[in-house]
Amino acid sequence: MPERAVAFVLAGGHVGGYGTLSMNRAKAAMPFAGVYRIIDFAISSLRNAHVEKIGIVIQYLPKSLIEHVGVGHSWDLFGHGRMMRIMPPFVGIGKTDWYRGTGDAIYRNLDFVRRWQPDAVIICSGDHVSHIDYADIVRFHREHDADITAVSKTLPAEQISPRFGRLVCEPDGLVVREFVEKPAEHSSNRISIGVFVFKTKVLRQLLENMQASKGHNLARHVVAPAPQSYRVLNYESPGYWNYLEDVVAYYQANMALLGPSPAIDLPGWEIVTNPEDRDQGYLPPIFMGKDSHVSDSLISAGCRLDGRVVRSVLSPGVIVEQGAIVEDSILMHDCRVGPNCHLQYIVSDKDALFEPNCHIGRQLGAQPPNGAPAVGAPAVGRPTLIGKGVRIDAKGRENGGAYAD
Amino acid sequence: MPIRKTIAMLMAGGQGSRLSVLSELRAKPAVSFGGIYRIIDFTMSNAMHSRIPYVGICTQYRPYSLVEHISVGEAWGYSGRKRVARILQPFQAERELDWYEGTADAIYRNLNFINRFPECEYVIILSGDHIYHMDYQQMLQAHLDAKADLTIAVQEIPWNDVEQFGVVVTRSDDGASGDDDAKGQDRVIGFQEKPKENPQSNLANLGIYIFNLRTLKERLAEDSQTQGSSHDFGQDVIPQMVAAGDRVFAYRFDGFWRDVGTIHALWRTNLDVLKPAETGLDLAGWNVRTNWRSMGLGNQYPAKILAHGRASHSLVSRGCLIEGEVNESILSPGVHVGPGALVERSVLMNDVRIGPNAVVRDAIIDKEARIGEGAHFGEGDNTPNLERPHLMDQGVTLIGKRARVSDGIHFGRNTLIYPYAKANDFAESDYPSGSTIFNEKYKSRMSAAEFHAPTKRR
Repeated sequence: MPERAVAFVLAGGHVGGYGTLSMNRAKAAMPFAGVYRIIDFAISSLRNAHVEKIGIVIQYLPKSLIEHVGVGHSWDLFGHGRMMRIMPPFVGIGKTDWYRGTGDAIYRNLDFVRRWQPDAVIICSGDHVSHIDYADIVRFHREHDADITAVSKTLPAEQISPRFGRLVCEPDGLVVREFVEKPAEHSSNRISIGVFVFKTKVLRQLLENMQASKGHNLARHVVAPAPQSYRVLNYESPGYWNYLEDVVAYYQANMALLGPSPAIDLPGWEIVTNPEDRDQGYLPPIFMGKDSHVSDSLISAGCRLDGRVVRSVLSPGVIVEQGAIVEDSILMHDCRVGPNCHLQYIVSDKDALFEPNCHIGRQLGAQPPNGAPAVGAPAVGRPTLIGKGVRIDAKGRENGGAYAD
Repeated sequence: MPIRKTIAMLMAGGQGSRLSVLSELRAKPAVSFGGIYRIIDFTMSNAMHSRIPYVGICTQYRPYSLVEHISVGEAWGYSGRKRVARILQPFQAERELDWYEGTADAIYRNLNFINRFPECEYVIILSGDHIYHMDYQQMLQAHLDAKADLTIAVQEIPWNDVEQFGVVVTRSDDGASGDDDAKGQDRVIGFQEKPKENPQSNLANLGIYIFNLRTLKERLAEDSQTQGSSHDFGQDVIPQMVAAGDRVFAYRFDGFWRDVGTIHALWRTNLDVLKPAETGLDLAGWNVRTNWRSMGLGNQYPAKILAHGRASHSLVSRGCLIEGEVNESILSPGVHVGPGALVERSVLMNDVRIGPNAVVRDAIIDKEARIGEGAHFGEGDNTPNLERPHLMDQGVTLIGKRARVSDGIHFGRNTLIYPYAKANDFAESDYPSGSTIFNEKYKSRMSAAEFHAPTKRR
């Protein structure tokens, strides 16, 4: 019965590699595919597996996440035993006020586990784009009587980032012999995707041990020592998984949605979002004006397009005025592109204003010019990044707008 | 603020039979408009933006879609202690008849609801059938200024059109009567229903009435005792008030207002959405709200246009997939336009699928209909529809809910395809303008339903 499992979603992390885009939010709160946020993958997948009690562990710039998650009713996690709880860091007697790490965050929210007495606790990451069948993982965990189930993927060596943990298994591929967190040398192509299922009492014991040894990291101080004394099993997840390590990976994943049958299938995987976020549920349909031209793009509700939009992903409320061209770009909520602007290979955060006639970015694949524009300072191959609420004047310079919020 | 003492009663019971197969399956106020809206959303949004605190919605004909859609009114901000919206269904009580007999009867029988709000002094009667944007507070102010018993909203229309409307005959008060409050106001002195000869006025009655509650209660009580009355505001109660010398004034409204009661008007007004500057119909500017939960908008993917797809001058909703070309059209959520297909000047409701290489021009297509590969619509002469010549004579084709149009068939203009029509209903490969494709099962179901309509129960 997956109903008896509870889950923690780790959504507190700040990541590098996203430049100004991560100045306003945790990575889990990054908008994705126009109307979604990355955390929707974790929450929807848990909900689709009938996990009914979910804690969202937050720390870094949590405002977007708190608003987005709400009380959980967008995912039917509200009412009659179904719940979603935001778990911010807190001050208590003899405790510091920030989570010192992922293990510490779980340890300090063990009340949630004590209260519901589940047989299994799922801990997963809220900042991956993935298709994971949690019901099958919990079934596997119970059928094989695992103390810990570590979910893995086998990747070609060149795709393995040093930041991933590795699993070394017995020849049967089932029992994990060694869990190496962020190893210096390659010992296995089987990486941990940051999803674990624990027997409740094993989790408690391991967290107590972690406290005793003054550790605070879930992977390093809880999971890594476990294979010596517990039954740690490997579950290889067959579905899509993408860490979206940096803004280039983020850009590519969004653009991959444009094809006829994208590898990331949000409707098919039943990934849902909260339409009350920025009141987008009430937005009118997309208005395409008389001289508009829209092709090869993903466009959200409330956009008003009078110019040309090609190979782009637009979040709700974006305005593209007459004579403007938007190509190969991602524009988040309520960006406004003035008349005769030309945007190429841009990722813009919300509420940016492109003043009339501004030309910004460069052709996809082109080298950045010498004396690159002040904004975003694109390195080779990276999209030009525009901060939240920034105003770009006709010469393509940032003008007046602070990096708001 | 007087608007805080106002209750709106919204008439949403009508079938709107001139909308043909669109409104046979749902009440007219529930008919889809502008991609994601239902017609009633415009009136509900007006009530919300005018800050009317209480709304009663009288339903009768096929209320299911409406009950679901209005729910408790939360979409229009009607939640909390002082903001209430309720569906008021016909009911059985001391009287045996359980159906509303007319608009006045619907109000009379729901006075209990109105009495729940003792602070109310004014009642505004609205209709859920019209597309417009109006601040009722201004009308209420005019009502107060004239110390009126009843104020009727009117709009000046071309004299050529008066025979399609009920018109209000007015006389401008020159102050000779010594009535300072009425001076300069348009006093209502009579009515003409769709006058074909000798029209005395070109002021159309918009069906928006503000009554003083006390007067309304008296007149409704009198009307309920009147033999031969049809218990209708326009037919009985209001002419009686004018005759009896009550203070009845006209309020001129010159903003966008349309009755979308015919196939052609529904089609044309939908396309008006695409030219807000010219027509004044501005969905975004009016901030029209719909119930996105009941309309299933919450889980829709953004609209997707593929590499060979093109969309321009259109309204495109969430969840659409465009592989072909779309011009000057309105697409509700979940519409799929196949590769090589062309859609022009058409209104496509939820989850309609246009097959590859099909051509659709000047059509309204109801929910979940499917147009087969290579089918063609909208070419040929303008022969009116043979079955409904008065309703479908201006070139617009109507395709009913869940119809399955077979591959490769060509249709002219003014075509009517019945809901649920399927492959064996299409005997020809080429249908001239004015053709109707029946579906016997639907037809017999609907005529059976008519026999089951209002029945007396004891």
